[in-house]
Amino acid sequence: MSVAERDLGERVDAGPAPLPASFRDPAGVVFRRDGVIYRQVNEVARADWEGLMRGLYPRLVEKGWLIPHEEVEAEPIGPGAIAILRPEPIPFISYPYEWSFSQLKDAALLTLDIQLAALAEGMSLKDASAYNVQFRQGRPVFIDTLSFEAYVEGRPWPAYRQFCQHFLAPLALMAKVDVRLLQLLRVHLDGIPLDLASRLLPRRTWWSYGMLSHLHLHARVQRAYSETGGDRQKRGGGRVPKLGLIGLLEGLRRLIEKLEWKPAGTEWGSYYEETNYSEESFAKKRALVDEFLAAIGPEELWDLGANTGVFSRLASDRGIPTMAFDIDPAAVEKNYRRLRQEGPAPLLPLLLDLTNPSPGLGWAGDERDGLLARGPTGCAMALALVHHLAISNNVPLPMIAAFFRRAAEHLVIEFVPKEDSQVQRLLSGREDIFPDYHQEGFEAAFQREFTIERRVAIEGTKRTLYWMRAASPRIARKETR
Amino acid sequence: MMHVMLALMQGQGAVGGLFAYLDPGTGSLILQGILAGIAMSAVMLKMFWRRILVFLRLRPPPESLAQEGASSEKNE
Repeated sequence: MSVAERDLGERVDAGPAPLPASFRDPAGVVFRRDGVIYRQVNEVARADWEGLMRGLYPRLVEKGWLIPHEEVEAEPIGPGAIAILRPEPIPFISYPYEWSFSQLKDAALLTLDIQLAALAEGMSLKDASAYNVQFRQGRPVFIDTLSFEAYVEGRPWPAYRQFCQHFLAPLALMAKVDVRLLQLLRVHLDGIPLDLASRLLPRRTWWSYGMLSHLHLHARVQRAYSETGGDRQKRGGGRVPKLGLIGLLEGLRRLIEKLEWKPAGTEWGSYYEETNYSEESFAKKRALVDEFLAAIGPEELWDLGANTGVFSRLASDRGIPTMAFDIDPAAVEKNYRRLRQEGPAPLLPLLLDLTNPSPGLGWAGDERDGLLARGPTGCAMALALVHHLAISNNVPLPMIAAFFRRAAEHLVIEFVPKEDSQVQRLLSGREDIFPDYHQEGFEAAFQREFTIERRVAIEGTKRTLYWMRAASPRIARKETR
Repeated sequence: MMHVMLALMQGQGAVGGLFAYLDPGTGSLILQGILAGIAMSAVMLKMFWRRILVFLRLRPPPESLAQEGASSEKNE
């Protein structure tokens, strides 16, 4: 496994260390030294590595499908090195359980397209993990340069099962059952077990040849052979002619291409239409946010509660790498589709429940970083969010302020008072147990962690927009992944 | 029963050793043999069907298609 990563030059560096997720494949290791990510290629992978670099690598990089790297003269981190690579850094590492339906689908199609292109060059992917795909400028890119091996005529694809578990099963469940089933990937880090997917899918999916063969029968064949051990496997399993393998991959591609999910009827679907902002106030708020961003000039921004990314684009349009988080799969999906239409931008829509953000997962809880371990970021933006955390989720204001302090250096935050109709809506039908929820209470709570730089009432509304700066010295970015 | 059926359906003759760092799963390897066989049969059936149509003159032979394409390009 691999992780190309960012370097904002603020980590406390404790000497070179392999990344915690980079231990499965003996072909190489990813490590960090002085805040820079390197990949070591090992002697055991020499033939495959040379095979990749001969013709496939430039072709894939040119298409924007594979992350480019520079071969550098650097000290290896372990024995057996034949090359040290410095991959192009990825601004923010995200995980499949944080993607929208179309993000996962595009990552699946990219993986299959790479496998088909590799076969044409006499190479093959030896794994098909969704964690090998990241997003760069709004598009998926494959980051594991050591996932390629020489193709042997007649050999089956060893990554077939992994592909079905990481991509096909979650996509089918999202499209045919419920989009929220994506979250099964949080529990099953090596993809959703096919027998589980098969049980959850509706009966009618048995009538689709693709679903029947790649999911339902696949699950049953797996079970039938689960106890026969590796004897047959070591002999190479059955022979799979290249033409047949290409046919299988193209069939799989058509099946995934056909899976669709339409974002409709979820909680924020029409949020912007329903807010109590007039067109004029909305424009004023935009101008104000833009002005704050210009003054802050952050190196990176997290828009928390970004909805479909209207305000996130104010940052990404300024060239600021922007992560647009939202709890609603429909909003994230709409944001991603719009981004795909608009073309390359340093924007990344992601699914996140702020009341229960992505935790550290995998071996020793270190393989996949939690949200805060991927920060802190330069600036966090929280527009029309605080009332949801404080009132819908009962989080006391000082705890909200402390969380933001851990997340970011600067804060662009909107306070929505009780008099606002949106808060009234949240309070209707429940007891008001929030005596401290007012502007003074809000400022007092946040001033424990931040200094208020600007405070501007948004004309035509009861709301106030703040720019705050962390009061205590800068936190060092966590030195790991 | 499932074992017997699958054993009968899958292609014969193993290929080299499959030493992946990832466990490919015996069932997944065997299934690929079957699905690849079906995919190839489908392609062959399609080609065979096309030949029948050509033979029955329900469809022009591939050469004349190419010629037509070339002449229509010239006309443009």
